[in-house]
Amino acid sequence: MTAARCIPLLLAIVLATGCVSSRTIHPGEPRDIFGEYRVMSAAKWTRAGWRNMELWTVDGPQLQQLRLYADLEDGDSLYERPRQAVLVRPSVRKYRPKFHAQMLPHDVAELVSSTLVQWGAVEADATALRPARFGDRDGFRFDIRFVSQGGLVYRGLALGHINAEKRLHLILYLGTEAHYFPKFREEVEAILASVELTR
Amino acid sequence: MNPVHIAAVGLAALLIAGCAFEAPRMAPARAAPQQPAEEGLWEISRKFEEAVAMSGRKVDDPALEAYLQDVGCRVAGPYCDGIRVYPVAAPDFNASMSPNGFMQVWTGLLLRVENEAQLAAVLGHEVMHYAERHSLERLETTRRTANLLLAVQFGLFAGGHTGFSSGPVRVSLGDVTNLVAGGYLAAYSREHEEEADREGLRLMQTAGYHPGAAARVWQNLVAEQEACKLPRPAALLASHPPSTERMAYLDQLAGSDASGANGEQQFLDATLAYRGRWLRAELALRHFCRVRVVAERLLERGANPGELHYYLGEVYRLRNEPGDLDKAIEAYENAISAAGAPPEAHRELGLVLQRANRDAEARAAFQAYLDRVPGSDDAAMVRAYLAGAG
Repeated sequence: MTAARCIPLLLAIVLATGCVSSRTIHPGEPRDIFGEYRVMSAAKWTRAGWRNMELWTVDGPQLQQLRLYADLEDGDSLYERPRQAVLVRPSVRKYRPKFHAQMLPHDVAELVSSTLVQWGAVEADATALRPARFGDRDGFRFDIRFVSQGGLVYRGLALGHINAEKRLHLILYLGTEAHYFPKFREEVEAILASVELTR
Repeated sequence: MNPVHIAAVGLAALLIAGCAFEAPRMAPARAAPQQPAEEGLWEISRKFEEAVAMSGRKVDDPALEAYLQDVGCRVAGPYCDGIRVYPVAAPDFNASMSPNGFMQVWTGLLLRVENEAQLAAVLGHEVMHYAERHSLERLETTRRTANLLLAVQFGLFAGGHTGFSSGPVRVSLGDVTNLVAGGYLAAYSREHEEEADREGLRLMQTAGYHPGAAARVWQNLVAEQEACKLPRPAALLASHPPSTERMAYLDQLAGSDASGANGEQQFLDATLAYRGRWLRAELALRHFCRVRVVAERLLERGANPGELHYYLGEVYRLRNEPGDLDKAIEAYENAISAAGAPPEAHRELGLVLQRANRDAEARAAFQAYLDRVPGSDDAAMVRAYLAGAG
């Protein structure tokens, strides 16, 4: 391989690896989520981070995952690269459900269920939308249920808050209905109760 | 290209065209594989059928399944015992038949057909793929074509004819013969589709349905494709004839025959309860234009107009482009004043009115929602809007 050919490849590898960092969340250590809010976990999680979103899991993201989004702004999606990476074709981007600054909690619940369908769920339902506290601020909460293409039933829950600048913080917990969702349900409830806004 | 190359490629085309394999029509009483290659196809299909039956995509609704099986059987006549019709949750216009009689009908298709006769036209088409054993013919023809192509390419290479230059471009004869073979196989597939269209129309006509319904299916699809500028496959390599062509020959075949039933009421009785869910599934994929075109067309048919106006409102609320807010408000208001609107029309009207800073009207809409479904699982959230709005 010539040096001229090697440079773009190395650049691509550096860029790709720079997008994701995988670390461990240690029990009892407060975790700062992009300078917007802090949470505390009693369990050990593996973490992958993107811009505006951290994904935590214990048994693997196909089985259970906790997504912590911070500061999503008008036009962002719930995809791993919410700010619409330039590498994604515009024809694909235009079909992504997006957050809009004027959204109310009902709109956010629809945003989550539509995104799950786009990720491969067969009909996703967001139900029992209700007011809840996100740290010391007013927020909202809802339940999720969907079936994968393979027929596996998943359950989930979401806690959200739209701040004064019309930006969305959202914590999403998803897991298989059998075993993995209930396995960390109490732990996740404790994480939701530990939310502390830092701005 | 010199004359030797033209002759070589022409010869390849002629030879490949001779690869077509004809299988006799399936005997209705002997719905079983009739040769080793077909046994393999049936085994693959059996596993595929099992996978779909176990998957989350199969709609587990005995009533809908029974209805589709009933219409399928009426159209299939003597082939009824060999076919099984599954509704599959997939938001696109599609149906498919496996060699072993396992038929998938996508919910996107059920959303788009207007009556039982149109559904029968599609099911008749799929039954003919099964009866004519098109999968086996395609498998055998592809195998023969691939073998011959290899021989032709080897002969060209051995004779030193690897390619030619066209200006600054070097063209490989292997690529040209591959293209010839690909085009031939696609054309062969299109022949099967046309045969299934024509024979399927006869089946639905024999079952007592109005034959003009078959062309109407494609007319509606063409209108949707054109309105939403949907991409179409390249003509040379397309596996199906263009929708406009299918519409034309089916229309010609039906002629002026006005006999037969449309079965519109029967179709609505069997499917209307699911229509909202199917529209919602398309909205999740952000098929805004397609949902709008389908909802506006279905509005002309008259059933549950409130529901269709509501989903038009959803198109504009979720699309959220300049001007959509006013369109959404108008659509929800139309929904509320028509029959069949879900209570959520009031709630969504409240959401868009609040976005438009029309707080007093938003409060009235939220209150109207709570009045209709006071025990809904989101009532506390809507009450919070009422407490905070205005």
